[in-house]
Amino acid sequence: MRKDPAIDVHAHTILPEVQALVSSQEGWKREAQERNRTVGADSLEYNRKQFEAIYKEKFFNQDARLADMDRMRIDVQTVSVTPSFGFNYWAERALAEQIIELTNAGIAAFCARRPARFVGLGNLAMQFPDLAATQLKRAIQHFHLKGVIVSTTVAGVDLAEERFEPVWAAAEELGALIFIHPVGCAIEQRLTPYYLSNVLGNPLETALALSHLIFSGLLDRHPRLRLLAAHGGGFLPFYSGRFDHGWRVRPEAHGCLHPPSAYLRRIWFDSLVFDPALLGFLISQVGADRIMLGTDYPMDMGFEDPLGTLEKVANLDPQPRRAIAGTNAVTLLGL
Amino acid sequence: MNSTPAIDIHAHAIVPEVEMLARRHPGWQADLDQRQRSAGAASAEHNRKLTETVYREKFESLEARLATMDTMGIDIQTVSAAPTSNFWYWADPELAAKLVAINNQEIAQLCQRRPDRLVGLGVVALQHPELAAAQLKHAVAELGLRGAIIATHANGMDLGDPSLAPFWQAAQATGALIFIHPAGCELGTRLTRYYFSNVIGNPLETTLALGHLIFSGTLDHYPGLKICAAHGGGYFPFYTARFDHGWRVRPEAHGCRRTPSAYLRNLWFDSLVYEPDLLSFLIARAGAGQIVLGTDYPFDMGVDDPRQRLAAVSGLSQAQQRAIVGENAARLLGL
Repeated sequence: MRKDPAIDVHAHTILPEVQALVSSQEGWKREAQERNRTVGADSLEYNRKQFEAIYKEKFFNQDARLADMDRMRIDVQTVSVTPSFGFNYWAERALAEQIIELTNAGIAAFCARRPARFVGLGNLAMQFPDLAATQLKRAIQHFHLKGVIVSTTVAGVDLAEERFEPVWAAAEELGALIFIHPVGCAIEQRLTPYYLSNVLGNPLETALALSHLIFSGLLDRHPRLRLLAAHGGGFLPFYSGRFDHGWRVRPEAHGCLHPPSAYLRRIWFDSLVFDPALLGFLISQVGADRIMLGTDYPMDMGFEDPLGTLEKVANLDPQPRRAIAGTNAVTLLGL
Repeated sequence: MNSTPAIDIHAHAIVPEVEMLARRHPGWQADLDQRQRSAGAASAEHNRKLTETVYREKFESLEARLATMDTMGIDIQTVSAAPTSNFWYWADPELAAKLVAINNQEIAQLCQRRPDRLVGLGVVALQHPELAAAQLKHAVAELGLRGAIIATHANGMDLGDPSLAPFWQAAQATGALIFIHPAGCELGTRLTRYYFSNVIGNPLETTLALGHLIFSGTLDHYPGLKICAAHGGGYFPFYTARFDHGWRVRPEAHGCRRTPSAYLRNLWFDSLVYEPDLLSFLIARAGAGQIVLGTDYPFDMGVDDPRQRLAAVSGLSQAQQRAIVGENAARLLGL
């Protein structure tokens, strides 16, 4: 690896063998239908077109991906499944075991083809936390993945619920990276126009997930948990003042030991906020040692020039710039 | 009074006669039940206690209000109805006409008791846009109110809805100030803990309101609107780049003429974001000419030292400080 590598922690793929297994299942169809309803017809139709015209090639042709990475000046991509193609939390236990085994083996095989350019994150059957804990262990120890991608809720259950304790305990013990990534949001039908389900719903979901993890005291109980939040952590790091104020004045909000904003310095964030001024503000809120490049490859809500945006951040010294570009990720992912 | 009076744009009052009339109708109970469900039992109970103790005197006693204003260094308070029952948007036209008439009459009377210290905003029946237009005109022309407080949606109808055209026409024609203020957020049970219904839900609602207003092109159709958004505009001004990116790359998100962030300079925001670095970022995003003081009197999620928090923002000129302390609000309110 180069001395100052550029590492993307937020990139996606689709595994055809997993799609073949799940796409005929009733649960998959139900979930797709529900998501389609909340995304809105226009966005859904446009997503279909984008998939056929652009995403498909990038998902299924590793050479096309490598060429894009070269163009984006990315040395190493951290690859995880595409959330809109399903975390598959609807699956019953036996099927969930199959899906996750196939997924994590598939991600590992994808990375093994070009081990100098790819590292992988697996998926977990979070709907069965005890199972998820063993899957996580296998993902790290057997498949040599660096961690897993987890949604912002598990079929409507927020991540701080007691039932997920085995997963967090295992993640802490293994030093596994937990990449928290939204898959759209529904507030009645209010997010169906203008792609708000994604544009606004995604950063909302990530803020909600982090807020539950923080306010519940979960990060006090699991201080070594390595969380990575997509899209710069969504709204939370940009608006933490109200969260801190609520924590101070409301007894029912006082579930964690420190002001909520203090926990931002224990979480990692990708840089996917599209604008040097916003990235600069994020750095001021969470610290340059907590931020890594994220591109959301190959989606249109991703970011073609992550290094260019980083370079345009004002008043940033070379050392923190290098840290965000790659050295933070080298340390975190153990590269 | 100083040469530049300090003006609070965001303070509340409750009109007991409106509450008594509203309580007699089933819509009131249904609204309350729904709000308590989505806020959670602990928050509902704590709010009930505060309403009977701390808030009661501050709502009922003009002397207590003025004394608090003196402590805060506020010369003029802009008083609007507290969103206790979602501004009664559940009411049919006949009831809504009565409720709005009483509320606006009483708010005007409260202000007339100390016209040197208080100015008022009315409410309108936004769920009946033609009626709302007439009520706004009446409030401004007959009652001497400066505009109206509206919620982030009217009974599920978002602010970009074309049926609201008569209301926006009236707002533009009268030059009235429209203060957008959230009144509860429905995300099932996901906001029932840690006062998330307010801490997360309030800025989310304002973000949704601004998102719909901007993406729908409403601000293009009515460029003369004077709109001020509560709590610094929620997440919207802090996270605009994702909205801009969506607007650029997604055809269905392309409903307005300019990038969404460009409209920040056509909107006003209160300063209620708690932390000087957040306020500083808001000022950088929207411009010092778009920010006005807000305290959320008398609620616990408000602040009692808005001027100190502004003074702690580094790098502001004297002229910018004066603009935010009072000049911007004076222009908005026609003082």
